[in-house]
Amino acid sequence: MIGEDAVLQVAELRTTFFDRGKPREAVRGVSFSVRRGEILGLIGESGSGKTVTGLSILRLLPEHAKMEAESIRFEQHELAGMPDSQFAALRGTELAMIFQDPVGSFNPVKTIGWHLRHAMARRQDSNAISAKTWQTDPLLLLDEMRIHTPERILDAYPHQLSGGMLQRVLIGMVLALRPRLIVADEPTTNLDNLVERQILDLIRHHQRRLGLSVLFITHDLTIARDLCDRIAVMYAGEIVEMGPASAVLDDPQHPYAASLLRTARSLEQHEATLFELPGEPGQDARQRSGCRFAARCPSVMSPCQIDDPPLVRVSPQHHTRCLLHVQ
Amino acid sequence: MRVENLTLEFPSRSRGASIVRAIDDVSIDIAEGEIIGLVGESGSGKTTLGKTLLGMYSASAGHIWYEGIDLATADARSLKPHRRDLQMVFQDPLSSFNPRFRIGDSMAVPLRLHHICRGKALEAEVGRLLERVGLSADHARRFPHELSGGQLQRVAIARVLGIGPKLIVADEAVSKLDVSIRAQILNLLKAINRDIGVSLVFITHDLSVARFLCNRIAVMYFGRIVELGSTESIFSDAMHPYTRRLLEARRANQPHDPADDVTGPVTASGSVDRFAGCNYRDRCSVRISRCDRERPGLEGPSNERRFACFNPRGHQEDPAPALAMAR
Repeated sequence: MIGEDAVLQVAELRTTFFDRGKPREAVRGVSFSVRRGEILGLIGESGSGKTVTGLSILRLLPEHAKMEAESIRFEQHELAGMPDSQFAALRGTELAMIFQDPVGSFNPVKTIGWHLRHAMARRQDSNAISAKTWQTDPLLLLDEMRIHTPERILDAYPHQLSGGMLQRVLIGMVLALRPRLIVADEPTTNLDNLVERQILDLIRHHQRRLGLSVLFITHDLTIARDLCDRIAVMYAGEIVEMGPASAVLDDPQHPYAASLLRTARSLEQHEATLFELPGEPGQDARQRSGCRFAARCPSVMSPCQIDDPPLVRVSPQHHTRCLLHVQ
Repeated sequence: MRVENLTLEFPSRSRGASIVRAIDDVSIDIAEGEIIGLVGESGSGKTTLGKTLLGMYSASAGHIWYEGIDLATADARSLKPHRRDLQMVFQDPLSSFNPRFRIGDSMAVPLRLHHICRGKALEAEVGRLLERVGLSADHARRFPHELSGGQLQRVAIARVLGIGPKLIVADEAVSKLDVSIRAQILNLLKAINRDIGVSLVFITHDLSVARFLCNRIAVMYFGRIVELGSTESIFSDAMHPYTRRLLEARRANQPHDPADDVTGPVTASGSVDRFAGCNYRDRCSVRISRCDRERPGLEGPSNERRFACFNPRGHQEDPAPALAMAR
């Protein structure tokens, strides 16, 4: 869909979980690309398939899940069908992930310094890089993560640091890998607001400085607006709207995206009663045909129950999956 | 309920300090039918305060006056008749239910325990309560894992309503829910408060949620209430620098303030001497010399509008006029 400047191009990604043999599709044919130097926001509510999409690309799915894709093009590599051994060399170097819970990303019996040196060594093994482009000193790295007096951190163990501090260290470790693409899955969800803002600013700062590409997974529309260049909205395993952040958030075309934004806006503008989207996400998950959102949709029409809506172009960059926009 | 000089201390596990003061000299009145918000970052003591109000921790000092008795010092026998008046809704609804009980059975426990109804009437009452929170009587036959987080939180609210409480402490009751579900639950809480006049202590870290729901807001920092006022006055005319910092945190592009890092456990016990001077002074951008010597009390123009700061609204210190006045 998008041309040469894509770092990652995913076509028709499908991920199915098998619950006691019964298949359940978590991601149903998702296609998108992350361009060089951009932050693509993947937004949606729990169960929309946004995290599973990220895990699928990095092959971090549990055993009872199966992933297939027409193509997952990452730089010059075709990831779909690549043997695991070959993929392992890319993951943790060119392709990296930041998780919601930083504690789980650290070895509890090793110091912060050990983790940093480990991450740096891993990158240097796999690729010769000039000392000028990247720091080899853990202290400098911590300093770049805006950690005050980094000396005291190096000998500390993960449990001695706060969540925000650990997330800073983790971002530092990930950047030390010099990845081409970072998948960040709700990296600030467990943090307090003040710290959250600072972590987001940190990510944005280094992303711009290094020209990184980021797939940023979040449920928070405010974060998406502040951070992302483009946004893809997921619902029930499908991308229902995709476009530049401002277009999607200021002029949403899909009724689901529009409802979410209306709810968020009614909270921001202190309305006496919040706008409610009736029903629950996932209530129509087992439905076989038609629009997945039809049961909750305020603008539902009779064909919505039968026809699968295609992804329609509403402006050159802006797409939506809704029959309202099919001429 | 009238809370006077409530203090709660725990023995400390870290070296250096022998006790941790989780709640530090908190005084607050909770009026009938009001919704009061406790806001602050993690570790500020808001959850601990909520639990202490309900007698889940026993206070080290101070009083909690309710219906003529002091809950802080009362024995189990005199507390018992008041237990049903004081109820709690937790952040994670799934862990508030026995996974082996059907929803209806879980809901029946407190109804039976408090001799509210039994037999045939019990089933009808459970159905009525479920409908009151927007579910159907059929949900009584399901198991907790069959319901979504939003539905379970509704059940948790229904269960509490069944015994006719006078005060409900809701601890981050919407923070784990998705945007669309969060709006539904917030509307529900507001409607219940309006319809039956139950008082709510709403614990949250999300200021926009507090703004929507609460009549009054108490901002907590390190176990103390640092600012108290009507929701409107907190948002339009915040006095304490910490409150102002929290309000600013909702905006993007925060300048990084290394002082915020002092919340990290590495420094928390060391640098914040909590028994002399203002707790907030290490992070404060407008501290004056008095802040190092004395601890500001929660004072203000009226009982309803109080703040613990020597330099409200944050004027920069100008020593000359102070000296002139001293002479």
